[in-house]
Amino acid sequence: MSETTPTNVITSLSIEETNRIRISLGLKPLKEESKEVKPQTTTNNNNNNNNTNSDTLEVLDTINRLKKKRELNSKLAGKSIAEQLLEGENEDEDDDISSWINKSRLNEKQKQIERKKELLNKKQQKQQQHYNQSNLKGMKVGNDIKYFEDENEHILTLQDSSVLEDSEDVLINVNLTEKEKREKQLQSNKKKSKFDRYDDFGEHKGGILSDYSDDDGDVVDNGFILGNDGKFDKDSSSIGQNGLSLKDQAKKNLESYNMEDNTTTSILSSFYTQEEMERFKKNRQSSSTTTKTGSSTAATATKGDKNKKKKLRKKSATRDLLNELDATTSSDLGSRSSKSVITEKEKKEIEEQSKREENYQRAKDKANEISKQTFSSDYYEEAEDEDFYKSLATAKKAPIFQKEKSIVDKIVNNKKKQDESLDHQNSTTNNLEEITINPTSEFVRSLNPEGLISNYRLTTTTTTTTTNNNKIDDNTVTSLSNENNNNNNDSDDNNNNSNNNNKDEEMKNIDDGDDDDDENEEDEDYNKYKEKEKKYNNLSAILPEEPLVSGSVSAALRLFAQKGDLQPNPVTNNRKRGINYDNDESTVIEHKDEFGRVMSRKEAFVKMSQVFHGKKSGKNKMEKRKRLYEEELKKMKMDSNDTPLGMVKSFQSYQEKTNSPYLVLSGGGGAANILKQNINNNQTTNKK
Amino acid sequence: MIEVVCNDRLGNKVRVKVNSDDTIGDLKKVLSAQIGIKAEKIRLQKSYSIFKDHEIHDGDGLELYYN
Repeated sequence: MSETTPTNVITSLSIEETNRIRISLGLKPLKEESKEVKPQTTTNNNNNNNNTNSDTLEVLDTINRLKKKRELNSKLAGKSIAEQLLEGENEDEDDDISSWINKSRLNEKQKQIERKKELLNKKQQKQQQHYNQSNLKGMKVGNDIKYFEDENEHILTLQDSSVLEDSEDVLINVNLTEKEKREKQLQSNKKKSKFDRYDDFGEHKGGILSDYSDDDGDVVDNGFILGNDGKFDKDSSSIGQNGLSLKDQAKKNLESYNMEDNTTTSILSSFYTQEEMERFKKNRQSSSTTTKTGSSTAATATKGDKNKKKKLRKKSATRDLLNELDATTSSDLGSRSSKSVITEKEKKEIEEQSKREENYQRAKDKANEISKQTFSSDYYEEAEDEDFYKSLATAKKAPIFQKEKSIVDKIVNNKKKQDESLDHQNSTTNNLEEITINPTSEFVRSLNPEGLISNYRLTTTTTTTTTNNNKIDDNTVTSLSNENNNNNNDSDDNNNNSNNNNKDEEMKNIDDGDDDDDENEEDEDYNKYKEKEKKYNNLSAILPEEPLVSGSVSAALRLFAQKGDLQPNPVTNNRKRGINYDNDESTVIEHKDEFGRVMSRKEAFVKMSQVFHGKKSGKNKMEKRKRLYEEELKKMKMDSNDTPLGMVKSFQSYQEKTNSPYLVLSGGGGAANILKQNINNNQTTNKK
Repeated sequence: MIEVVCNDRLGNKVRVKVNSDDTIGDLKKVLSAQIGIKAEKIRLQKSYSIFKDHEIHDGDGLELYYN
């Protein structure tokens, strides 16, 4: 079969050959019937001539193709001619379709051309109709004839009008309409002056409506209508005749007005003269006069004046309203101001009253404070009086003291002083005796160490001491209480109680002392010389403890300090200050010390804080407190009438026991015997 | 019947006649018979898209490659 070559070669097989190949490959043969069916439907008898021409051309093409094939292919099939014929038929069918399409296109083009020609003919006819003058019958022209008298050309166009009015069409030249409007505006400005003049003469016209009527008339008169042929001359002549026939009088009047108006316009347009300025001034003055006079006559006033008066009336009305508002505001302001003034005055009065009340309250408070102080003082005075009377009741010499106080206080004070001086003399005498007499010094010497020993023996001799002390205490308490009251008026209950306690202790010491003295006398017989040497040493030691008052004032003050007489009175100081919370019983809470004493506020605070924190004060502080306590005890033991060591009491007690008015300070066996007896008695009591 | 042109881009251009119902495999078989190359070695292509199950219309031009 065919062979491929490397050069540019186009190979194509015939239908029969392809069918053979397809059969050998097992494929269906090519479909040829589909083309045979198409030409029957598409053929047209009308196009036979065209087909013949195309056939001839196609035959030539096929011939050329065959030549080329022969050159390429050495072999040729005999049936190829039949195939060529078939191909030719098929090609003809294709040509028929294209020819049909071309024909249809040509037909359409011809139709379009015909339609366009018809349209153009119609348009030309219409244009011819518009340009005919005969068509302009009955059309209006809005502008005046005057402007068209000139031979110049004027272009007319339809006037703008609203669609809804359905009015007739009107022809207008735009420039001419503008001119007419300008002229109308000028005339309107002039007409005001016209009406002013007529009103001056007294003529009455329609007022507001006249303006509108004139404007409407002007619009109507300007226009004219075209004739049957639409010519200018005939129309103008006809309209002129009609105008004269209808409004001859009006035109005459208009001419006269126009002349006057022209003159005025010329003057106004050029410049303002003095006369015109004066006119303006006169107009203003007239307006001012009308306002002042308040005349409201319509006949005399002009339209402008009416308008002005209306405005002025409105202004006056507004002014009245403003005045009313001012009145109301003024009244309100007055009322407010008066109220404010009243309120201010009331405020001042209220403030003054409040200040007065405050001052009164302050005075009341002060009075209350003073009364409290006075009441407090009275209370304390009553308390003192009660204590005093109680002490007097206990005392035997009560009536004597009452009488003395009733007479004069000065005498009492003098007596007190004398008593004190006597006491001091007694003390001095006692001291002298000590120095001169040996046994007394021995006695005194024995007291100091014995005191310590007596403390040890108190535990053993409790029963005996109580019996003796009861008898002695009653007598001593009465005398001491009287003396204390005389000396210390400011004393308190606590001091009295403490004094009583101290007295009991002193008695105990005295009893023990007696026993010890007997023992010492036995030793004296053996060692007299040794004791004499010791005496001087003891005296030197004792004297500084007991200052000698006869020597100097400092000694006396020292003595008072030891006894505790020179203490300040804190209560009086506290009273002078404000309220004393410490003295009010209701508020006072007593915190007591280890030793049973009442603590001050500071001391209580310190103790409570220590308890809270679980701490104690330092060693030195503790020793200090103990030392102070011991000193206080010594002070409490002391008496104003006796020496610190208690010589007087010891002597008195010894005398009471011995029931003798005298006391032997030196001598032989008498004294020794007495001491021995006492010792024996004590021993017996101990045994019991 | 449809006629398809296959260009070798090496100097050979082949016209093949085929039914509209035939597949590309059938077209390749016909080409092999007409050219002399195996059907498996033929690759029909148009600009980068290899034709395997594509539609072909009358007068289409295809590129022919030899794998």
